[in-house]
Amino acid sequence: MTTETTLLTITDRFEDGIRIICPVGKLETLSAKDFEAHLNGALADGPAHLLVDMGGVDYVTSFGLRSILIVAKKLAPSGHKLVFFGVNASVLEVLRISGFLKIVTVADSEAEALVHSGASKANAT
Amino acid sequence: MQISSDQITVENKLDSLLALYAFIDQFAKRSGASDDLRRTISLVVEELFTNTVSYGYPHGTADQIRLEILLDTRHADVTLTDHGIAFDAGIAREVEFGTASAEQREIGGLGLFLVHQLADSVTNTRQTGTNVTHVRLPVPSRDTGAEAP
Repeated sequence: MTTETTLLTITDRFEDGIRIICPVGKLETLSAKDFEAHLNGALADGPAHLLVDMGGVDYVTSFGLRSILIVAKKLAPSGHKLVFFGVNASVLEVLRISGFLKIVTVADSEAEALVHSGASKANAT
Repeated sequence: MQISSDQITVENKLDSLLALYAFIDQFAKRSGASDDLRRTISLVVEELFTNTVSYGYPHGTADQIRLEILLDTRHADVTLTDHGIAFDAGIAREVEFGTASAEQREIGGLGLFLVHQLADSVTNTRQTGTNVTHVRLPVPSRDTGAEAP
């Protein structure tokens, strides 16, 4: 049996103090809980828009969608959203047919995602 | 892209997904399938396999599940054969989401819905304790004109 295969690695980077979550790999049955836990960890300091660089995500299955939805439900009462950018065509198609384009914001670029997050109004110090 | 077929048999455990992903990646590379097609095949196999393993063996019976992929210029045929309880993945799933926002949206039921949305057809036959689930996927036109890498 194959072991120690990493399906998804998740790191954070910061742009002007804004956290950008960078998952790389497949967002599926075995890895979705890690993704969800990472996003929840990012919310430990309180609700905020969560920016996710999806450029490294190969595909998203229903378990991945389930984790995205759980986090989106947590964010919704405070008016915050998940903001994705760098989404490949396959992932965009899955988000579209599953109705998730109403649940997450998909930005065309990192710059646009930062605008969605309100970063453009923030004074970087 | 080349006409190709291959098969693999794995245990009915979720960890077997790793072997299935490796098999699909190798198959796609060998046949020159595009990333789009590889991702769609991976998603379909993941959804069907996870469903079968999660719900097909209420008594925890050990089983061997076979995946076969057949690729020609127009279709990718994905066939999963298992010996779990009868389950017809061929029945189209409807997920009501309409204009639901995150707060209203229910969790679950999406896997087979996605498979049906992505596939040309999903059929299921059961014979003497064996489920055969067959999914026919369209091959994107760019694949047919693409050279194998």
